This record gives sequence, C-alpha cells and structure tokens, in this order.
Amino acid sequence: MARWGMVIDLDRCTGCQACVVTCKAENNVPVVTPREAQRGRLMLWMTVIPEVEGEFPRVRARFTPRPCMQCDHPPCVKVCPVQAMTKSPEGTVSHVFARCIGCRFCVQACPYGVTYFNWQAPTWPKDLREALNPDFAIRPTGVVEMCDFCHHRLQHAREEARADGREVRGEGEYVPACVQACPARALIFGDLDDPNTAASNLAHSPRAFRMLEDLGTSPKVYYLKEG
Amino acid sequence: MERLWRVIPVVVTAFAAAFIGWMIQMLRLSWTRNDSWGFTVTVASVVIPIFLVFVWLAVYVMWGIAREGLRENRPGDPAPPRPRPGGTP
Amino acid sequence: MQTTHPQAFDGDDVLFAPVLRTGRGFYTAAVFLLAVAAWGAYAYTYQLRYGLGVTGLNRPVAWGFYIVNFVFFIGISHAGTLISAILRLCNAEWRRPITRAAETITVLVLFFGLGSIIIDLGRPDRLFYVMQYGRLQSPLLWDVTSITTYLTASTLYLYLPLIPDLALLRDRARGWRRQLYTAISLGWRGTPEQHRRLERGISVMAVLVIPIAVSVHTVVSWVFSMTLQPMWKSTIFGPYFVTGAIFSGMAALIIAMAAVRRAYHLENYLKPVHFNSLALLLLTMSLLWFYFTFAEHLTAYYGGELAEGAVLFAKVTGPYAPEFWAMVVLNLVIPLAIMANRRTRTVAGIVTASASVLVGMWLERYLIVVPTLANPRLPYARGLYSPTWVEWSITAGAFALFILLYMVFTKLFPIISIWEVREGRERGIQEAYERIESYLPTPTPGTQPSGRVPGVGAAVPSH
Repeated sequence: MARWGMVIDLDRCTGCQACVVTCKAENNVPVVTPREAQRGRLMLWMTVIPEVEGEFPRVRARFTPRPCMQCDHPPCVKVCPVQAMTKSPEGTVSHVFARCIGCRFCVQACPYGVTYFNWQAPTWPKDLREALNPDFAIRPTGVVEMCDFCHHRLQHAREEARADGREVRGEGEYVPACVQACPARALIFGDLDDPNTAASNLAHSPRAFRMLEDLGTSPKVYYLKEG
Repeated sequence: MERLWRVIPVVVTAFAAAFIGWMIQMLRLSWTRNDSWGFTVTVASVVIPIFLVFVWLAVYVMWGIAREGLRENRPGDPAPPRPRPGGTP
Repeated sequence: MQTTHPQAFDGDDVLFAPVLRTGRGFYTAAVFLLAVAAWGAYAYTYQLRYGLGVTGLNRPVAWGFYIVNFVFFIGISHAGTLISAILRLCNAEWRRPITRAAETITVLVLFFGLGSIIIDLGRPDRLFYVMQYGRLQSPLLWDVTSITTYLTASTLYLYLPLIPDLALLRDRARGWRRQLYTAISLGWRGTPEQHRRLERGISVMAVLVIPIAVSVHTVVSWVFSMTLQPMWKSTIFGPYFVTGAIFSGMAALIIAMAAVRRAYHLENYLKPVHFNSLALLLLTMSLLWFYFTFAEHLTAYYGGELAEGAVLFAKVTGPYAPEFWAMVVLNLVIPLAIMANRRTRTVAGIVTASASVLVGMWLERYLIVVPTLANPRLPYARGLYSPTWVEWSITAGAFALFILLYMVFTKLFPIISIWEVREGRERGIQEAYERIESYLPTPTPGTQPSGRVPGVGAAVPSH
C-alpha cells in the first residue's frame, strides 16, 4: 500500500504563495475579513512561513511552506474523543467534519499548528462563492478542519485506476493541489515506500530533514535544506 | 410517597448500568476498530468496579434502609419522634 | 452522655431555622444572582447562534476562559468530598459541622465544571457523539469518565449522611416539604439495622471517594500534560493540580462557611476553632502550592529550552507578568502574612486570605492555559488573548448560578449535619477521651487506675 508523502525543496521555493491560493480554492477554505484575520482567525491549510534572518547588510529571507505534516504518529488522532481525526491505512491523516464536536483538543495537541477551527459560519465574497469546488464539502461553524493531502483527489485517482483494474501509481496520478500549482517545482509528491519515486529518493537525500523531528511525530513531509 | 423510597435506589442502579453500558460500548468500538485497546481496557477495568460499588450502595444501603422503614414495628425500635411542645414552626 | 444534655434535641433549632423560615435578604440576593445568571445564559445563546467567533478565542489561543473555568471549578470541587472524607477517616472530631457544607460545594460545582466543557464545545449539539463514538485514548474522555464517577460518588456521599437529617426534617416540616422529605428520607427511623447499613455505606464511600477525587484532578492536568506543548508537558502536573485543587477548594469552603455562619447565625456551631484548623491546613497547602510552582518554573528556567523559555518569560517578565506576580502575592504572600500570625488569624482574617487564594488560584489556572497556547513551539502564529463580553458574562453567570444553587440548597437541607453534631455530643466526646487514653502508656499496676479521669466529664462544655 502506498505511503503518500511530500518533499519540499527549500532551495526552489520562491515564496510566491501559489500553493496557498490554490489550496484555499481547492478545499473551499473560508475567507475571513481583514479584521478577523488580525484577531487570529485566518485559515490557511497550506501556508508559507516567512523568516528574515540576520541584520542588514547580511539579511536573508527564507520561506517555508507548511502543509499538514501528516505524521506517522499523529498527536491529533490520539487525543480526538470521537475519532473524527483519523489516520487511513495509507497513513494519511484526515478529519471527518461531520463527526467533530469542536472541542479543539487536536488544535492544542498539534505541535505544528496545522489544525484550524471554524470560529464563524464560513463566508466567501460573491465571485469566490461561485467558484467553490464541488468536489469538497463546505464545513459548518464550530468544527475543526485541516489539510488532508487533498484526499478527494486520491479518491478520483483511485476510481480511474480501478476502472483500469490496477492500483494508483506511486507518482504522477495523484497530487495535492499545492503540488500541482507550484511553478518552481519546489513541492514533490509521491509514494515514500516506492523506491522509484522522486519523492522517496529525495526523502533519503542528505539534505532532507523534518520539522521538529525530535518530538517523535515522524512527519511524512520532508524538507530539503537550502544548499 | 413511600413508593419513592424504592425509586431512588432504582435510579442509582439504572445510572450505574447506563454508565457500564457506555464503557462496554467503547470496549466494543475499540475492539472492532482495532483502536487503542490498551487504554480502553485499562480505563474500563478501573471504572466498572467502582460503579458496581455504587450498585451495592443502592441495594445494600438504600434499599435496605427503605425496607427497614416499611416493616412493622418491633420491640426495641426507637420510639417515634415525640411531638414538640408548642407545635412545629 | 445522653443524660448530660437533656436539651440537646431542642438546642439545634437554629440548624432547622434556615430550612423552615426564609427572610427577605435571601430573596433579594436570589433575585440579584438570578439576574446575573440570566445575563450569562443570554450570552451563551448569543454564542450558540453566532459561533465561538464571538469570544476572544483565536489562533493560537484556542482555549480560554471556559477551560480556565473548567479547571478552576473542578479544583473547587476538591473542597468537599476529599476534605470531608479525609477528616472522617482520621476521626477528626472538628469535622462534624463542616462536612455537609463542604460536600455540597463539591456536588454543585462539578456541574459547572462539566458545563464549562460543554460551553467550550464548538458543536454542543453533537455531544451525544461522545457516548456513541467515544474512544478512551483521548484524555478528554478520561475526564468525562472520572468526573462522572466523581459526581456520582460525591452525590451519594452527600446523600447518605443526609438521610437521618431528612427524617428529622420530615417530622418537623409541613405541606410540600413534608412530602419531599418523606419521599427522599427512605423511611429512616433510626433502627439499629438502618444505622448499621448507613454507617457501612458512609465508611465505604469515604475510602472510595479519596482515590476518585485525586484521580479527577490528575486527569484534568493530563489534558494538558499529555500534549507536546511547552510547559504543559510536565510530569509534576498531576500532583501540582491536585495540590492547587485542594488549596482553592479549602478557600472556597472557608468562604462558604463564613457566609452561612453570618447569614444563619451559626456562630455556636462554626466556631473560630474550626476556622483556625482549616486556616492551618490552608497555610500548609499554600506552602505546598508554592513549592510545586517554584519547582515547575525553575526547571523550565534552568533547562533554558527555547520553546519553554518563551512561555516562561511571557509569564514572568512578558505580557502575563502582572497576572503572574499578582498570583504569587495572592496565593503566597497574603495568605502567609495573615495566617502565619496568630493575631491576624481571626475569622475575618482567614476569610480575607481565602478570598485572596480563590482569585489567585483562578489566575494560576489562567496562567497555565493561556501563555503556553500563546507561545507555541513553532515561532510563527504568536498571539495574545483578550476575552470579550461573552466570556466575561458566561463566567459571571456561572459563578452567580453556583452561589444561587448553594443558597437554595441551604434552604432545602440543613447545611450542618444535625445528626452528626448530635452524635458528636453523645458519642464523640467519650470516644475521643478513650482514644487519647489509648495513645498513652498503660499505667503499671499500683498507680493511677485506668478509666475515665475524674472530673473530665465536668470539663465538657454543656449546651
């Protein structure tokens, strides 16, 4: 069975935020007003963390795209009281909105802060509302939501593969929206257990590291250090 | 009113039964989903005996007291409360 | 001993008085508290309609006042059952007039603890999912389990010693009250068999309730310390929370005792000696609390880990410094200053110290929940938390409703256990003398004969 994972090449990331915008559109992530965003209610399943290092003139900016880390030992799944947060047999962590009671324990448990709570009923400006993705449910107020590697895309790919009587290929057939949108090819997606995929090869590169690796969460999102 | 003496122990027992039922439901879920069986068994095996003590309390103490309250007077029983001089406020 | 106090039966009239008569002051206070509670209820319906967005909660501070209240209320609940059970098991004779007041706090405040979690939920309409799909790996369900157990145990532990008093009331009250007391006094007549069963029940519950109470606040602390968050992931959180719980619970008990003493003229029952004994316990807990707080913060400081340091300095010198130092003053300096000094350890002084501890312990819970969330491990998404009127109103409403329910309880049931006070007069004095005698070396033959010391009976104050 495939073990889907992502590799993010920090050397290639330009900080353009195409992944952020695509993710919002693909997953129908609600849009909040600037005032609410100021209050910390911004929802970005995929976000780019900008960091500025050093003093002038030796300044350098660094951009770190941050999807859900898709841990192999996910702290959010452990603490969920109703099994709304689940890990599939393939290792992908996803969240069942219809089950969520809104206790926000997963929000506290996640050391990466990738879970988002719907503080208000979701809203979109009119033209964005017309462009909502019909493949993905809209969440009600009062539940948590988060990145699940575009699980609906996996379902599509699986249906097509099943029509041909085979498994989903480890590379190319199923990619999350952010990976597809990245113009710099900084995001690489594939089966980490398949030695022939680029993702699994890069995950074993000496440049590879994972975020807060020492916590023991074993993320399936690898970063490649800047050279 | 005397009928209610029986209701209180029954309510306590029913609550304990419901709680134990909930624990069994979680054990069942945990088994069928193969999800954190160790935690479930540990918590359930600590909590279920405690609720059995509550059932004992309902049966032995509460039901027992109520049964004593209903039976005929026996020699040696304390006298019924004496009427207070001046009446009850 | 019974013959020494022929008037004992009628002498406890003042204990029945609050139940049988209600003055204007009660109604005034009740209307005021009801108004505050109604305002809190309105705030909650507002939150239900518009979602949790009407609160000041945000990212990363997704838990705020409600969870603080939850921890605080559950902490207060340790006033009662735990203290009462320990004192009962230790045969502490001075417990007799205070156990009921303490146990009542426990039972009532636990509902507010559970209620705070429900208020905090984003989807309270899906609460039943916890029954349907519950999974015991989540510390939140450990909480639900242990609090339900504790609530059941405390209610039974409150109810059992109430039965003889209900029978006393049944024989005095009239009208609907008589019906009520008849219904719930289980036909208590005081036969030896009834006494035997009741006392067995009480002693089993007194033993059982102690581990349950300790487990409750330990599990509450585990909601935090099972996560990987800086300054939550701490091994001493269990005992630290239990200590804080007993500490704040005792303070609440002292205030409740002082209030009923003043309102119902119970000076003859709740004497300065009771306050003094509780004050010494409170003083001990204050020092123990400080010890834990010191150990907790020193290890975070010395290790110097970045994520923990961010939380620590946010508390000690950063945006939460006013609350932090207020907490230290309220929980340590003021109680110590008042209660370590015999001259200021008066009833008024003890109540002042207790009020200070209550505020201080609420701040302590706040400082455990919020600064950690505001300073997560990854340095982006830092934030502050400022509650809106919704949180303030719901909090005020919860406190008002709790006080109101406590007042109503005192109107329905005697807040001092009448039969236990009487038992103290009739049996306790004798037992205490015999017990103390048994501590002493047995006299060798030929010297003072054992038995009652001459003249001791006369030293017993008569009522």
